[in-house]
Amino acid sequence: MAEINVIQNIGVSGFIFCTLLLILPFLVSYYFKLGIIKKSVIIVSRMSFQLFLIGLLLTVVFDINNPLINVLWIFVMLFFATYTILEETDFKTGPFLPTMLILFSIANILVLFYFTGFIIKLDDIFEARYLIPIAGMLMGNSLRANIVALNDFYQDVKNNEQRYLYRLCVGASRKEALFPYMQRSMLSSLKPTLANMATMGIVFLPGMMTGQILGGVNPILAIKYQITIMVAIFVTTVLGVLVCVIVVVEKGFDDYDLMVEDINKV
Amino acid sequence: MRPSGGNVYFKDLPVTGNSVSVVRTKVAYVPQDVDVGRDSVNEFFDTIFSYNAVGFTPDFEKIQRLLEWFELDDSILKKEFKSLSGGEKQRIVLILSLLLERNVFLLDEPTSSLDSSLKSKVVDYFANDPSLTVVVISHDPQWAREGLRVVDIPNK
Repeated sequence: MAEINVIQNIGVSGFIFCTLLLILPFLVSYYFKLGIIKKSVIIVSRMSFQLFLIGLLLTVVFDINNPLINVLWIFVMLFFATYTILEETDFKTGPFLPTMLILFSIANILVLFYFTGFIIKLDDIFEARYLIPIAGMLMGNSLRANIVALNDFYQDVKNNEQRYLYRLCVGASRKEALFPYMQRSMLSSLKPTLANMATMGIVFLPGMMTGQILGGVNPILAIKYQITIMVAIFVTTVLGVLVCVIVVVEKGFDDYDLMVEDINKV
Repeated sequence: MRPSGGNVYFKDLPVTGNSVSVVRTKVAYVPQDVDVGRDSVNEFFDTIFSYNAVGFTPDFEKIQRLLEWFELDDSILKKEFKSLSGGEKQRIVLILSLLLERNVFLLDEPTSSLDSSLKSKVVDYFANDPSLTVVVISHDPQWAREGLRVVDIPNK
């Protein structure tokens, strides 16, 4: 494989300069008493450590490039994505995790292999160098929307519980009575993704495209990837949000169709 | 609601998680406050009658007849439910409960915001139809009339 090697290495001095740049936010924090100096030091270190570790691991995984290991890696990613989504919401993680993991995996894997198989038409659809970063982009970019969908749904039902109960009492099924809540949470969670697509290229150059261009790929090929990945992200986001809503409607309510007590984090 | 103790029966049918949805379609419930968001009265009616278990649409004549009986103008149908006065809301929800064509009613303070002649009218409507079973929670003396059983619930 021809290695594209036009990209400039970042050396030790580069990292020293990068660290120096942090003095600016520290000064801001000091002056405005934001109290985020210690926190940002910890977070930046943590991020660096995580990325360093992932960099090492990915080097090995790309080297071995075994379909089984690649798929296993995807599942680990799926688990962490699902776990993170639930941890970030008002709902308790435990009751939703198993169902959510299964449905979320189906949705993501479907889009992922459709992408590698039919869109970029890889000879080996399991090829780590494509599969893993693309999976990461799909999951990472739909994460926020899933969290928003779950939280909005929860808040909306909580704030307008009476409306929901009235509809139930009149004879609506759980799904009928929850339909407006599903609609609203889906809409509000998809809005940022749509806005993101609308401004693409004009307001900001997306990370993947920037990366490819830095790596020496010509801009036209880079935008082809960007367009297709954006569509795939959009589809994954819609499916992910759908999964979230289905899981809450199915698992978040009891046999009386009332929202399960203590389903929320304290 | 789930009972905090004991069992609830509806015509010998124990109300459980399995049967509660059936029971809900047999009873017309009128809560103290109804919140329908930003819908107009018409949209509110349409939503309720779009539910599978409700299963029919009321004819317009019947809506008009009820509006007239409860001294409301047709134009109210186009108004946003939220913008109505307390008494108007109360009557709209009562009209809806009657449109559902059920014969068991659970009314929670259904006349609290109405003037006394309207209170009597509402009581008349429910009390004069012997086919209806009506359970009312109320502070209005108009409901204490002959033929209706009054259960005093003492303050704790």
